[in-house]
Amino acid sequence: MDLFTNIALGFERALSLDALLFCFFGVTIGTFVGVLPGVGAMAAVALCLPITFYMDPTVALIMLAGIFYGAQYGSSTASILLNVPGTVTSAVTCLDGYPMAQQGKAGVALFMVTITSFIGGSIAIVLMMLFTPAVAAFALKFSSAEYFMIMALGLITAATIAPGSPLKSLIMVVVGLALGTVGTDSASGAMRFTFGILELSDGVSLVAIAMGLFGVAEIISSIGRDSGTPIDAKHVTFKSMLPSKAELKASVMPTLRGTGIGALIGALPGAGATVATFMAYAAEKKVAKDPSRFGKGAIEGVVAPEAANNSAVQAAFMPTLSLGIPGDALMAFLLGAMMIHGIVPGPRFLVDQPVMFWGLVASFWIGNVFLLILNIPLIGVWVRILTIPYKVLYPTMLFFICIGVFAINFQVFDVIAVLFFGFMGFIMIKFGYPPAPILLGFVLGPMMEEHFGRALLMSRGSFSIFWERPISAVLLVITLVMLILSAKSVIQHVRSGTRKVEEASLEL
Amino acid sequence: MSTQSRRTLNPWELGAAAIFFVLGAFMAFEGYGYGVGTITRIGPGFFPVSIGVLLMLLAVAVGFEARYSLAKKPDIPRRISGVIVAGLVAFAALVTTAGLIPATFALVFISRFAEPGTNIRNSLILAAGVAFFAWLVFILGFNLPLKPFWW
Repeated sequence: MDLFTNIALGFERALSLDALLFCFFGVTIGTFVGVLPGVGAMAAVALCLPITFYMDPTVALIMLAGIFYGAQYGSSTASILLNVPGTVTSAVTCLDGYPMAQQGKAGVALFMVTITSFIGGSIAIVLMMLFTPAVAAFALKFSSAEYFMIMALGLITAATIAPGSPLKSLIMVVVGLALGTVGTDSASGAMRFTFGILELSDGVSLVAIAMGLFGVAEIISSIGRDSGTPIDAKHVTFKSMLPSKAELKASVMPTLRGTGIGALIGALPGAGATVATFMAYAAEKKVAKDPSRFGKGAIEGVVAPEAANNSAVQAAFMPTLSLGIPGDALMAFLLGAMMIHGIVPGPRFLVDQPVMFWGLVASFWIGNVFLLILNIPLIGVWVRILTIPYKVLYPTMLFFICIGVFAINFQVFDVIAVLFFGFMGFIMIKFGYPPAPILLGFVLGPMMEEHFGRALLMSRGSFSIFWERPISAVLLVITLVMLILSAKSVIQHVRSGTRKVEEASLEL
Repeated sequence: MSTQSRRTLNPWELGAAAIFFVLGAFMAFEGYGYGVGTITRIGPGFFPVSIGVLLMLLAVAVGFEARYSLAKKPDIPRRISGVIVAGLVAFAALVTTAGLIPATFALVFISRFAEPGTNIRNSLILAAGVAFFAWLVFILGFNLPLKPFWW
């Protein structure tokens, strides 16, 4: 069997000493930043990115990916104990996780979250192993027209599915595309929007954009905010973690449903883990016999979103690796990081780099086992991390951001750029402009331009190529449907011109 | 009508939309100068012009959508902003001239002032600690081509 040889090949690579070591590093760093509220996985990846330049690309990728899914495990800890999500993907977990902790069931909640995260992640990995090669094989038939359309679809889905105004999200996508044009044009070699600044000739730094919008902006809005006191860590003993039989039984179906929703949403280009958690929570509320229990410590409301976010994060690697289309800002960033390493994700990636692809997939599973070990016996350590005061944390974070941005190209200009994007992100969020689509547009923009040009060259300047080729036509129709679906609320808002305060700003 | 009284134009939302409109107009204008090429062989200006036009259209739509928005004027915390700008600029200015250790020390020490009532002694300890860590991990550990000090 082809699949089994590939999987064996992957495990052989992932079980080598360097891969194991850096996988462990990755998931540990991931859990650490996941636990800390206000420190995202993206900051950790940005920090580790310059370090990985000196590694074998497969190992580098294994470590960076480990940070991503590791953060999903850690993020629920703060949600449960502090009522503050460690990362956005655990925002829903607060709703029932914190009430559980107030009732003295913090241990059970933490234990169940780890177990369901593991189950959700593992199922999604299996699905990924089965389907990614098929998707990639199908995508090998894509020409530039299809690539352009699927990228357009990804961007439009990301903009319309997000909370808040779809128009504002679309503007952010276009701003991202605009930022992507800065620098030397790959087709003609022309300098665009560089204003004579030498540092801009290679384009705007991806890390500077990401760290500004998601790192510095977050720090500016978090300083001085009351961070809350965690529920005493001494209560979380190993014995208190064991769930009762009834709790176990109540968690089985929500875990599976959450996993399914997560895998489905994660696999879609343009939709990320955060959306999956909200949908999983809503679904549980709908199927529950007594929906009023939700928000008061229902275990279903904790396990379903957590299974969903882990399964979504794993499944999100499917479109990212097989099509080169990231689902959310985190995946866009990882895609950018891969390209800095000279790896171009897409259908050819599986064929040309089987060891790297299968090694990475195998490492996911190993990483999830590490996380299980890290999170259950060592939960006390992570809980104690929550007591680090923010005034120690944020100066250190700022240093990590600066060194991470600076060490990519050793350009002082990039540190100033991070400052610029930090304030831009801070102000944009206040007005309800989401930062995530900028990153998606920025990463996909140059590729879209290239494929658009090539498609038109192929059709000798006729736009009909986008609807005459069958796959492209289907993608075009889906894109239009996505636009029409959101058109109703857009037209309503454009007519009334009013948005309530809570709608107008995206502040949490 | 009670809703009627609240229907005042929101200058902040309209201002934000106007900025995006100007940005789009600039991209379209500047992009046109790069040469849009022909439809068979698009030039380096084709994509920027398209983006610019799209941005202008969306900006007009958002302007309409948010004209009576209830969003408030953004409250930019002056102390925090000032301190963060100072910290990052200090790092940028010092990292290549004075070296990684002084740059890190300055960044951490300055940024601690974002919150009022900062204990100077603790700030010095934290700044020294992070600077030492920076030297240990990034210069000794990962051999990044950075000098620890100016000599």
